Amino acid sequence: MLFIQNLHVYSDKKVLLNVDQIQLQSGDVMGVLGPNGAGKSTLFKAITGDIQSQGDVTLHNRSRKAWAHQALARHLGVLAQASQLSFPFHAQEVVALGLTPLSLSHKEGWKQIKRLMARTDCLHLAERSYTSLSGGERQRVQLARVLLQLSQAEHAPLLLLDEPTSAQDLGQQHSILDLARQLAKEEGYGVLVILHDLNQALQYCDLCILLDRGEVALQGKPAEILTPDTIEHHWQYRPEQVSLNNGQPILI
Amino acid sequence: MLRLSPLLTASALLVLLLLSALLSIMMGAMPLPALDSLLSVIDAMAGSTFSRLLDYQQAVVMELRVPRILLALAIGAILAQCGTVMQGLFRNPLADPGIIGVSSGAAVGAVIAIVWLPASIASWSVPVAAFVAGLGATLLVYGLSQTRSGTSVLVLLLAGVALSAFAGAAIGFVSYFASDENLRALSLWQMGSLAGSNTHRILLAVCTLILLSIAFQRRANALNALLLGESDARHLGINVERLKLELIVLTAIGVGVAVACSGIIGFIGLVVPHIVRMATGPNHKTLLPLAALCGALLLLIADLFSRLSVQPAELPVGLVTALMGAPFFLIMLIQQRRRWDS
Repeated sequence: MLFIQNLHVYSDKKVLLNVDQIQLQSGDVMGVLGPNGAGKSTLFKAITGDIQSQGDVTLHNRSRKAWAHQALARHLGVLAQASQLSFPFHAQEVVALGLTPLSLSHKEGWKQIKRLMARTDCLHLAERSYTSLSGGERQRVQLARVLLQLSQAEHAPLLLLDEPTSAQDLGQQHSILDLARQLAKEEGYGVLVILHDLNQALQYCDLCILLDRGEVALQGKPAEILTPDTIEHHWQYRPEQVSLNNGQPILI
Repeated sequence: MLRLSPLLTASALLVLLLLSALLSIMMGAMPLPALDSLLSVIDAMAGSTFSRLLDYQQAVVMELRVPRILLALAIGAILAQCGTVMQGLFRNPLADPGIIGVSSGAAVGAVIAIVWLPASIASWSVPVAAFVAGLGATLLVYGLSQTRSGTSVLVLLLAGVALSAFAGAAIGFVSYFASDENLRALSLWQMGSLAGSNTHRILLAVCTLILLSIAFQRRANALNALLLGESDARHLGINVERLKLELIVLTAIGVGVAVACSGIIGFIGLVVPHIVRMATGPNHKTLLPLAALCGALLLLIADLFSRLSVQPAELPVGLVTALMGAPFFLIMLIQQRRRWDS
């Protein structure tokens, strides 16, 4: 569904991103890993068109630039790390902004809002002012908004999650990643997720790309690329690796 | 926080608006009876003869007070909506329509017209010069703020500040060469007044109000999305660059027309959206029409006060709105500071 080829981002002649090829299939969760400044967020911005880039970003065999604004919004959703919203909307009104690219009736729209707020565990916050919510609660409200915007897609949607677990407590971190996996496996979403916790990548991702200095250093199954050697090479820290009874590797 | 129902708020504002309009017809240097004043307006519209007002009293109602009320309503509603849009566009409740340089530019245009163009054509040359210069200043500020990755809000704000400073110097320069008579006209114009209300200005203001209200309402959902930030709005399918340009040009037209019709009237565009947002929430679908009603009401009351406070003379209404608005602005700032502290 997502095909990226020869994607370059420059800033004052300095190369910020230089990606040869990335391919994501519908139904897969792909982790985007790498040390700070590796180009993870830059990759997201280049995919969405928030920054100027050269090269091809193709979604469902159509170049991103060829998509109409609203149709693209129904197929490409982005959960940013933090939102700039500082006006006192109720949480459910923030989610309702996800209706912008859709043509749903008022009644159907509100039904979807409630359903998705329940799914991201924020329905109990519906009438609360967004500005009074904690960072993690805000992130879940925003996730419901993004899922609403993708709810009427004609083709499998692409969901970009930029550190969706950064403001969450332990339980919520796992329920958000569980949800991402559910969306991929049950509804065919393609999910691209920036993660700092490598164990979460091992646990939830089908594939990972490891970015370093703007380039894809490694690409493949998480257990294959997240070895103590590669981690030491890219993060300058050597973890110990142990295996759980079910064979799942854990990094300590 | 508890919110008022938009429908209830609109009804309350409408009632207050009608009451204030009635008071504005009755009260002034020549007090008139309530019922007959009202009947004389009905007479003028329906061609009936219910009112017992004398001819000269009817002339006061229909030729002085009603046109002034209509202009106050239209200008108040325009300024309040423009303020609402600017606060949404900049995602800052302390933004003001003047932020994009339109008021400063308009002031320079008007000052040049007052001082250097013949007084015989001042009735139209001043508003036209104000409007053209206001729009020109806005486009200049907007042009300066264009970067490779779109409009930079920071540069836009700084360019607005720089242009205002330049406009202040230009006004000082032109004033230095002005005659005493021109200086008085100039300073009064800068304080804003609805005394120059005439059919042309009312038509211009009302048509602008109708067009702006429709144009803004059509963009209300997009404005709501813009509050999430430009990237998030773009991801929701909104053509953010086009939206920003449209909102800035529409606001420049609105404020340009307002300044052309009544001089500089500050604080309505700053204070009204803030009050309405606190009462009914930040959704632009309801915020824009309610701000229009509240702005109309506030300017009508300010104008009534300006006519009654130093009878038989009158205060410039811009002074009254500034006197009412400036303390409110300070209170808002203090509240904002507390939020930052916490």
